[in-house]
Amino acid sequence: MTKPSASMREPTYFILAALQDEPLHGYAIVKRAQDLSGGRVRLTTGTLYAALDRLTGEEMVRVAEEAVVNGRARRTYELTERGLSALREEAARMAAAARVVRDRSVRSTAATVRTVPA
Amino acid sequence: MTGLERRYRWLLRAYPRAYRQYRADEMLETLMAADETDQRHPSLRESLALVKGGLRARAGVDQLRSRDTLRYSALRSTVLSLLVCGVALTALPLVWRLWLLVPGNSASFLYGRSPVTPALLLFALVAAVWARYRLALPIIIGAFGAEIWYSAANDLGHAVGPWARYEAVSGLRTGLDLIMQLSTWVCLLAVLTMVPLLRARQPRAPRPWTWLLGATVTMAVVTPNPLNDWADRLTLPVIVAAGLVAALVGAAFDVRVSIAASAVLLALILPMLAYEPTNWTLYGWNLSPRNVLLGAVVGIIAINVTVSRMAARRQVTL
Repeated sequence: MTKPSASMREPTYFILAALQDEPLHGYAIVKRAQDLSGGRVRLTTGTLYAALDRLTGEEMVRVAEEAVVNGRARRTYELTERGLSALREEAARMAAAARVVRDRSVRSTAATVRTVPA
Repeated sequence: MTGLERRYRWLLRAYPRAYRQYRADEMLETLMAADETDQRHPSLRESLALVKGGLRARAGVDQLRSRDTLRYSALRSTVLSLLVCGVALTALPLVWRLWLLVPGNSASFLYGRSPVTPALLLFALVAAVWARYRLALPIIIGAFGAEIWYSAANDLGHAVGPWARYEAVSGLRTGLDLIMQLSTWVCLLAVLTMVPLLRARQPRAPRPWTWLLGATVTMAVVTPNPLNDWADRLTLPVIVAAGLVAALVGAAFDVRVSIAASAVLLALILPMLAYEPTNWTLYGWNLSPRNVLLGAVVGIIAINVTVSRMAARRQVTL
C-alpha cells in the first residue's frame, strides 16, 4: 500500500466528495461531482473510471454493490474510512491555504478603515 | 444495439481485453446515461478520454501509484531504451556490409566498427529485459572495453583531425575517438541508469516486448541506414521531431516515454557535441544548419526534461 500524496487533483477531490453522503454508481458520481463543483468539474467516463481504479487501489473507495441493470453490470461505490480521512485532510489543507489569503485581506481592510479619518 | 452504443463499444477497444471484461459493460452504462440528448456520435471530448484511458491502461501507467514504482519503471524503461538504441546503431556497420552483399548495391564509403560491441549490447539487453541487472552491468562494461580495444588496435584516432598535434600523447587519440562514438555514451548512460536498479526492490517486470519492438523500429526509422535510404543530413531534423513527439506523448500519456527519450537524445547528442568543435569556423560559432539543428536538439532535451518533471509529479498525484 502506498502513502497518499500531499495534495490531490480536483476531479479526485470531487469524486470523493460526491461519495461522502451515500454510495453512488458511475453516472451518479459524474452528476454529483458536477453539482458540487458548481459545474466546473465535468468528468468524462474515461477519467472517472481511471480515477476509481486508482482510488480502489489506494483503498479509498470500494465497491458497495454490484447489480445488473438493463442487462449491464452496474457497480455502486462507497467511501472507505481511509478515503474519508484523505478527503478531510485535503479539505483542511485547502481551508488553511484559503485562510492565508482571507485573513490577510481582512487585516488589510481593517488597516484601511483605521487610516481613513471619520 | 444502437449506433451510438456500437461506436462506444468500438472506442472501448482501446482498453486491454482483461480490463474490458471487467469494466466495459459498466462504462457503457455510464456513457449511455451521460448522453442525455439523442446524439448519434460520441462527443470528441469523451472519445479522446476513452482512447487516452485505454492507452494508459495498456501501458500500465495507472499502476505506477507511488514515486518509487514510477522511478523504478522509468529507470528500467530508460536502460532498455538506451540498450535498444545502442544495439540498433552499433549494428549499423554490419547492416551496411550485409546490404553491400546484395548484387547491384555499392557504397563509396565503408564505415567499419567492431561487431563485438553490438553483440555484447544485445546480450546486456536480454539480461536487462529479464531484470538481471547484475549480469547486464558487467556485459555493458565489457562492450565498452571492446570499443576501447577496437579503437586502439585499429588506431582510429587518426580520424580526429583538429587534435592531430596531440598525436604523440599516448592514448589521447583513442580517447578522442571514443568520446565521438555513440556506443561510449550509450554504455556510460546505461551503466549510470542501471546502478540505482541494482539496489531497488524489484516489482514484477512487465512484458516489454511490444514497446521494445516499437523502439527498435523507431530507431531504424530515425537513423540513416540502407533500410530507409535516408541521407545523414536528415538525421537531426528527424531526431528533433521524434523528441517533440516523445515530449508530447510523455505529457499526455506516460512520463516514462519522455524520460527515456531524454536519455536517448542525450546519448545521440553527446557524440555530436564532442565532434562539433571541429566544424567551428568563425569566432567559435558556425551558424550552419547543422549547428542550428544541434541547438534545436539541445532545446528538445530541455523541453523533455521539463515535461518529465511536471508529468512525473502529476502522474503520482491522486
